[in-house]
Amino acid sequence: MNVFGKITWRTLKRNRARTVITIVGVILAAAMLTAVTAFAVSLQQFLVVSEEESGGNWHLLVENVSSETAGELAEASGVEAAMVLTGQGFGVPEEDPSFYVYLEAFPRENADMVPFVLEEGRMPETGDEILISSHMAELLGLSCGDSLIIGMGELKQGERTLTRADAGLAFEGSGDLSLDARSRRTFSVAGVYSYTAVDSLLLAEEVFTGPVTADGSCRIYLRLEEPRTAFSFPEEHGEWLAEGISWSFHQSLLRYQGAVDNDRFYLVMVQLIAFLLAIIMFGSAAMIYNAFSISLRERTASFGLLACMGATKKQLRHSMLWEAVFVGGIGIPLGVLAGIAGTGITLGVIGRGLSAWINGRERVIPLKISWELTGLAVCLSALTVLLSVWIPAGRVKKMSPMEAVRSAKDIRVRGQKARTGKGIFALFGLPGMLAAKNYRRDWRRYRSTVFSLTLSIALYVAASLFNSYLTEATGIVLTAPKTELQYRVSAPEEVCKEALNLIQGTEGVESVSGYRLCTLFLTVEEEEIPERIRGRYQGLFDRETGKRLASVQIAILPDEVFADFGADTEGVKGLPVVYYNRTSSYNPDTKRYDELTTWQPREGEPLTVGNAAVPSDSVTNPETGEAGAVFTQELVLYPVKGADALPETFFEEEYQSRLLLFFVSDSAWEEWGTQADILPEQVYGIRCRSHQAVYEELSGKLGDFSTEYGGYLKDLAGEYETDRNSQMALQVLTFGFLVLISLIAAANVYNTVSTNLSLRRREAAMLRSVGMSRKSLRNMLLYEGLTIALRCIVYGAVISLAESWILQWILNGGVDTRFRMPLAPLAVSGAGAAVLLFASMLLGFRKWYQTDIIEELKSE
Amino acid sequence: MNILQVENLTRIYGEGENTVRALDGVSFSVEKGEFVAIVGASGSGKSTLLHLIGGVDRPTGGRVLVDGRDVYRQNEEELAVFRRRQVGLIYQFYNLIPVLTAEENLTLPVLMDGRPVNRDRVEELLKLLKLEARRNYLPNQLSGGQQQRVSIGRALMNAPALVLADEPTGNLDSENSREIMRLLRYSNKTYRQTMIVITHDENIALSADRILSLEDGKLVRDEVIRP
Repeated sequence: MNVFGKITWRTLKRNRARTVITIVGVILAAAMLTAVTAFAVSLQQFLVVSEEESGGNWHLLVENVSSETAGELAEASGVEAAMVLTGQGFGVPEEDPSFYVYLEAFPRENADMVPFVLEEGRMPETGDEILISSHMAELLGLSCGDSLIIGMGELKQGERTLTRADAGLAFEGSGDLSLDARSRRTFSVAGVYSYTAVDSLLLAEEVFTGPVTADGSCRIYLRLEEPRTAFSFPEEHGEWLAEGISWSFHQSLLRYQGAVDNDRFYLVMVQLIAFLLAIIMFGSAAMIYNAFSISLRERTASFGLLACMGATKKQLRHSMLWEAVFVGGIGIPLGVLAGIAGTGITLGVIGRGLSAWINGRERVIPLKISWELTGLAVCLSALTVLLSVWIPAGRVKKMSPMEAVRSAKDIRVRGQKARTGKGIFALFGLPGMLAAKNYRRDWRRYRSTVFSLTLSIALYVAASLFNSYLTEATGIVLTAPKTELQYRVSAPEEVCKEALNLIQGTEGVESVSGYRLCTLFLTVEEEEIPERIRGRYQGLFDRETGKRLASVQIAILPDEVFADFGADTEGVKGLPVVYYNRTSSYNPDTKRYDELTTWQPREGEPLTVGNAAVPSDSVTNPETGEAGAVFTQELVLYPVKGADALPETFFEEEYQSRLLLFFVSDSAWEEWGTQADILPEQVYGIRCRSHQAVYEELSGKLGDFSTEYGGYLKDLAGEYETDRNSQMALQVLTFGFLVLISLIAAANVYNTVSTNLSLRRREAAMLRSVGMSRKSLRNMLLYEGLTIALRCIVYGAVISLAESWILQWILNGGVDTRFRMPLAPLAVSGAGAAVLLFASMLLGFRKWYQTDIIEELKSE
Repeated sequence: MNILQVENLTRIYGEGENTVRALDGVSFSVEKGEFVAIVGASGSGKSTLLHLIGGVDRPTGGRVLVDGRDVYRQNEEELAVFRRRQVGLIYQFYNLIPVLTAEENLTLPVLMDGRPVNRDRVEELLKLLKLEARRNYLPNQLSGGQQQRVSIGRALMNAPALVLADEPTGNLDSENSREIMRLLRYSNKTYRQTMIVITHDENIALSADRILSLEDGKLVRDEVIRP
């Protein structure tokens, strides 16, 4: 280290307080930059791993390919791995021919690309072994080692032979299914799976055997070397495209791996992270720049002396850079470590809540460090420090030795500009006049204080707005559920009453409310549905009229609840209904979510709703592939009124494929509705204190109903707690960020103010020596503070509005976000900055009185 | 032989009605080994002249030649090196670097050059200045006289062509003042060090070989005391 480095190092040691504050600023900056990158990497890795565990480690799925084509695709350039499931066909278990199975053979390689959660046993290894579902195992009473005989053949619906794809589209109750078993295959049950990411079929149980040599219609899962090439892969390998082959993408995994296809969500997240990084870098750079500026001012005379002794400007600039090296050399490594440790601790505290918000399960999010991104954080931190020192170091170039020695430019008196109005003297006396002159004569000195304070306001507001915008954008609407538990069952009335008695007789249950719900269809002209939501209601058309068959729901409410609609049902000769026809959807033109009307019934004109079934001789629309259904008219509804909002006691979640929701009273349903052949689903809302205990007890009690009638129990309070934990996790995250940014800002303000006052000790001594009282001197400082604070609040307000606009613009890319006036954070930060300013000033003022007047006047 | 030649040196500060002619066409020359005192009232331009000779400030007009070289034809880098090697500056208020020890302050010009320090030279100066026992003390641990001696040592370290002292005893008591002047004269006699000293002290002025009197930026008298 040369003499300039030595001088710099010792000067830093001498001004311990300022040096520590500067190093703390660097630590905070490096910590936050590292934390952002570490957090992003950890979260991304978690998302990728979670998705691979639940959905499998694949990028593309190609269906209906021949074995030959599957083999070629597996060897295609860019393919890292492939898993081929070879279809063996449909079958019927000899022990229980009441349901169908679809048999596929596992590949020899990469069978683990798509996850299977095994309840028992292992994966099949040969063509004589079989893997069955836990549901099938329960139905047939099978376990590992047992034999299973399956009659294999073609599954037909009428005359039509069904493929595997058909088994996913056909509806229950379509009838006319038959399978003519042409061969028998005997398997040994090797394993039982409880979950698989392989698509489940509606019409048949999926079963799997070991690798076979027989050909069949294959499905191939492809994992690519470069996920980013996924969306262009089909086009580039179009030579294998043939009629009937379909491609699909593992959208969520691709998104998490950074491969996007016009994904607005991803773009919004990237922009948000960039905004965050920009705030951190700017705030940190400003603070560290301020620190170096102050250092230069303190060392100006020293630099001048060195220049007189023969130091070149380059040597003096390097002296400033030495300061950056020392401060950065200590601060950056500590900051990186603190950032990594902080991220680990934060993930430990909020990881479960965050994971619950992301994928509904509370899991630990492990800390993952990417050395490339950590290196980037180090580089950004170093860049921040270098940029902060660059301008002050450049100022050294413009200094002449004489000016530096005399600190001649410290006080820039400009004749007329130093004049102040007589009013100030009249109102505030000598202290006020001096304060005004001080500000006008050397505004550059005050500029650093104004800049620091304004920055502290802007940073706090930015962090606070980030918190509130993000909370809104995440869509976590924390509305406590109206009931703690919910039970749903489709059963005859007497069975529902039995279930109700069981629920009401359970200890801990305080009250039970309920309604009934049924799902039917309505024929509508497609043109009457807004274009951008028409896709929700596709799938079926009335083959007689050609009209769209859209799903509707009828909720049967207690009479007193229905009465709250205020609907006039007098004289209605049929089933009077109140309709609700609002929904929210993504608007591709404006790129945001907004609300719209699904379909408008004509009040007073009857509507006919009913069931829809796809018959065996169904026709398919050649253009859309939709199935023509037979619409069975069941019920005539008379819409009497539209509802603006849903009733308080109605707690159904939005069901996107529902065109309309109708409300009808119990009594009206008894009179008109029971004529139809419809079994509504009974929904019970259960209020209780200890939802977990009641949930466990009811799960046991209602088990038989669940098995026989498909009833299920939901712990809404538990889900609410999970949501609340998720929101708390987000708030802890952003609050932590807010605290760190505020620390940077506060340190900056204190540093600037205390140093400015320190450099004015001689001036203060002079004023004391000519008889200025302590009170007057203090008032002079306070008036200066007032001038600065008012300016900062005005500047801060303007910047805050701009920040809010920028954040809203970013988030509007994906979600309808309203502009927020940053009044509350501005008030808090303005008040905080003012308190900090005055406190720093008064602290510096006290130090003025700790020194001897003569010694100060003699010092240079 | 003239070690210093000042030709029509002028320095003007400010603009318009705020113009101040700190130096107005000053010309003189100094031989090697001369001890010159510069006297004059406050504001007469003494310090300005000293700083211009030392290459610390830039003249508005005229030339300064040191050892035959025009000081102000050099670029910034060369000027800095000139100040380091050819000039030794001593100030009234010592102007030591507060974080360097006495020895480090003394060797500062050499350290700035990046050259190895001549230990014999350092020991010689510390002995001459009676600072051997104080070599590792910081400036705030030294008395005024001791600090000024360090300042003198710093000025002499590189055996420069010129030693320029601006009121070197202005901040010292009489005993220390005498000691400082003794050191300067010793250096002048022993090393044939050319000395230019600004002083208000008549005794110090009379002890010089030559007195230059300035008034309102002009050289009004050039008196040889000891030929």
